Amino acid sequence: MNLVTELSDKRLKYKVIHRKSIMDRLSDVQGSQSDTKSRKYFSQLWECYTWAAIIGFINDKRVPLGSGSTDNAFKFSVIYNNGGELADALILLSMSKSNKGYKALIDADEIIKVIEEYANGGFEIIQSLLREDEDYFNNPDAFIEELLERKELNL
Amino acid sequence: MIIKSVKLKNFQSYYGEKNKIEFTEGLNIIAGSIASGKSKLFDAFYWVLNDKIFVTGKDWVFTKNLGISFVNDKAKNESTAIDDLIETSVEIVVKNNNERGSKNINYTIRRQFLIKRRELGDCFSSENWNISSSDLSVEYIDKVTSNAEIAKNQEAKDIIEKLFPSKISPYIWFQGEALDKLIDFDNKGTIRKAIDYISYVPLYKIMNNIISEVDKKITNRARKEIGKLTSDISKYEEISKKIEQKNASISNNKQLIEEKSKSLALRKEQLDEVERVLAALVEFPVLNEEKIEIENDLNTIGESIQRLDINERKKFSSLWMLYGTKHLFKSAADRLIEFEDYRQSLISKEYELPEDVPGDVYLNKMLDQEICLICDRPAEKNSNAWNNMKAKLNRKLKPEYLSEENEKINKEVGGFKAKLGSLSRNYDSIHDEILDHRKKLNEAYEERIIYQDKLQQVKDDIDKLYNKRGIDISDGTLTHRKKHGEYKTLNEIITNLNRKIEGTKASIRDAEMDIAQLEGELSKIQRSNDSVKVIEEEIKKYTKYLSSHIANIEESEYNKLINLIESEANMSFGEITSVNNTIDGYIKIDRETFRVLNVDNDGRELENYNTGHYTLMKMCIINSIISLTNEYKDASYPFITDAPTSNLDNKATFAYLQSISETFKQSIVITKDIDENEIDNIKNKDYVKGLFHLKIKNDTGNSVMDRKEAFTNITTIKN
Amino acid sequence: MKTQKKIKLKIMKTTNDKLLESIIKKTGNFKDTDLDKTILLEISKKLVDYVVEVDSSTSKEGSVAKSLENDLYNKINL
Repeated sequence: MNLVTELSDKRLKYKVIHRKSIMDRLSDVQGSQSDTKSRKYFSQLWECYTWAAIIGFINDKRVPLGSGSTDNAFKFSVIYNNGGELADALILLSMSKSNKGYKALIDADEIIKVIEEYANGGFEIIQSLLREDEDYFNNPDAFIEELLERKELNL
Repeated sequence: MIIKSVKLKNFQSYYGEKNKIEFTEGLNIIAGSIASGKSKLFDAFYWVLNDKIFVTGKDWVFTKNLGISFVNDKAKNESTAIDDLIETSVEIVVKNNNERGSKNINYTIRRQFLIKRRELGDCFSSENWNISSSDLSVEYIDKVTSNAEIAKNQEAKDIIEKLFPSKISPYIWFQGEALDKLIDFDNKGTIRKAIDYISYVPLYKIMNNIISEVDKKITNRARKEIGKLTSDISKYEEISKKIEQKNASISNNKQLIEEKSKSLALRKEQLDEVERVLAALVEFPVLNEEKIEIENDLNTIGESIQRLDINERKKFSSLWMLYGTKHLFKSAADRLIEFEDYRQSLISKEYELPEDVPGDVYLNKMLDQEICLICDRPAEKNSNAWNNMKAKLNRKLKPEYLSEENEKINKEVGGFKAKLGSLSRNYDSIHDEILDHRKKLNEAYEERIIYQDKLQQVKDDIDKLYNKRGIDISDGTLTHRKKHGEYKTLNEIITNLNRKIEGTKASIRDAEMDIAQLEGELSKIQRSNDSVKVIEEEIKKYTKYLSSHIANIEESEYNKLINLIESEANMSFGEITSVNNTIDGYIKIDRETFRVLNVDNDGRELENYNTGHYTLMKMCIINSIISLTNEYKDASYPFITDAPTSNLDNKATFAYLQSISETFKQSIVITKDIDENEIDNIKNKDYVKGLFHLKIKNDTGNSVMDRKEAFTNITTIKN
Repeated sequence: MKTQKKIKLKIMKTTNDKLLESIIKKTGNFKDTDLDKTILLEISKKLVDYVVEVDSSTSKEGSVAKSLENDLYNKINL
């Protein structure tokens, strides 16, 4: 069984608080058909999650999930089926940061764990942005702004 | 004429009998907050004199159609038994010093209204009361007999008409909503009527009539008398008759001209109206089309913005969010290479055989032969030795680099190498894609703003059309055609009228010339007796002289008066604009249309004034009309008004009040919404002679004012 | 600043005064004729009084015209 197949059944966990204060705020509630203006930036939860994970990776913020309440949200396969290259990107990023290095490629649990912890870190970063300015991401321009502000670390 | 006091009993919010205000000369201010009973006070004045109350949103309504609605609620509520009687009355005492030469007389004008409880049940329902009609009475001391007299019905009405002539009473007081109903400044006739009333213009007409008639009579008589003295009476009489005929025809023609002129004026007004409508209509379709076009363009822009937006989110969630991770992918690539290197090292290692292990071929040979060729001992299949040899071979057949784990990793690495390659390629296009998207989006936003501004501009233009002309422009083409037809017809009619008038004038001139000639012939006829003088000939000189001069006074006095009204109005207007920055310019009365305009120094119309400013201009004109009336008519009337505080700021209001106090012998101003702490401020102004405060109260101590318990309380602060 | 204001505490001009004033003004105080100025003034005064009478509905135009005629005959002699 290859990695992707193994990953498909696994789930990405995250903290409930992040679901409420970030994911639900920035993603459309399931099934709503609102017009462009009142639509949230992300139409599905996995998008917001992936975005948070990437932010965590870029800022190298890894925070173990710990024992707080977590919410099993979605299967990895959701990202794979809807996000195309993003799923592969996550795997690669996870591997690049994993202690196990390339061996992570045959360790689905490790891949998941790393993604989860960087996503967690990413959520914390987003959380503190919002604490400073509640409306930071109310303006859709903010997402692209944030993108363009990312610094590329030169190796 | 001065209002000395007003007393209210059970009238609207005024309960019982103790409601009296005694006014002084000069400026009286009645202050109170909303719903304290101020406008009801105003209603009281109007009701006494006119038997009507102004109902919000409707019109002036006669008492007989009001039921018991204006009777005080507390009084109604206190009624518990059948046959209970409630008297509602308003009494004003007026001192008339407008009659010259007579003592000042006080008139007590009273209107009374009685209701009697017919049935129990809802005390607020008219059905449960018997209603009398309202009764008017005027009490006064007869200046001749010194007896107290009471006038009722028509007699009372006549006295009231004398005291408050109906031509001027609309200008004596006005209040808020009622203002536009009472005085329609857009109607040419209104100002003309006011001018006629307060000016001598009608008097000049009378003067002209009298002296012309006398002149005519004297002239005719002169001719007759002279005729008696002539040598040729029959010829004289013949010529005289001709002259008389000519005079008669001139007289008829003059009358005809007057009629036609009136008709012409009316037609011109109609034409004016049609022109206004046409102007609005012509502009409207063009503007409307423009509006629709801009709206369509806005829709298109909106759609493209939407598309851009959808595209952005799609791209964000499929690629763009990876922006900034390049270094991480590099690190991932490094990891993959790490594995490949490792694997390669394993592979190379594999081909370096340890010395004690024979090569593959040799091992296979030994297995086949079932003999260990190294130690030269037989190794039967499945014997220990044979198995050992096999194990060694297997071990070699599965080199480390081919271990399950490594194989698995290798497969993944291979796959992900490819994916990484694809990702990298796509990654490189992210930045440009984003910038391009943004550029397109910004351009669309800018375009949208431009079009939105354009749309607003067009809408404003259309509104201006509507507001300025006050015309319903929704019907469009049909109305346009109709109005255009009217326009043509009216123009024809006017042309014809003008022609007729000119023609008639020409006839008059011809007749006058004929008369002159005939008179010349007359004078040539010898008198039989030169020494006899005809007195009428002498008198005729005087009457002719006076009538020719007086004929022109009417028009010049008229123009003089309008100028006077305008400049008086501008005096008070100027005082207010000097303290209020939002209004500017001057008041101008358009001589043709009599519309009231706000103009700048050069006489150009300013269009930025709002309703408040317009009200202010009207009030200044009314001020000036009344004050001129007071001068002209040698009479003074009080000025009773609602101060438009909500339309002016406080400084402007005070300036206005001060101006009023100096213009009128007595003025009564009912102010809107002045706080209790403002009252002290007003009280101390020395141009305020009387100050009264109205407040809604109840005796029960409830903070909520229930209509059944609440009543207006009058406090006299200064008087 | 404001000019002094409009309340006249002195005796206000009567209608008659004003009407007469306008006649005198218009004729330039009767300068443009050789007719007797005293008579012209008196006749004008009478006329003005009659006008006010008619305006206040005390009399009708017809009857005051007659009265004015009489006045003329009285005042003007050959």
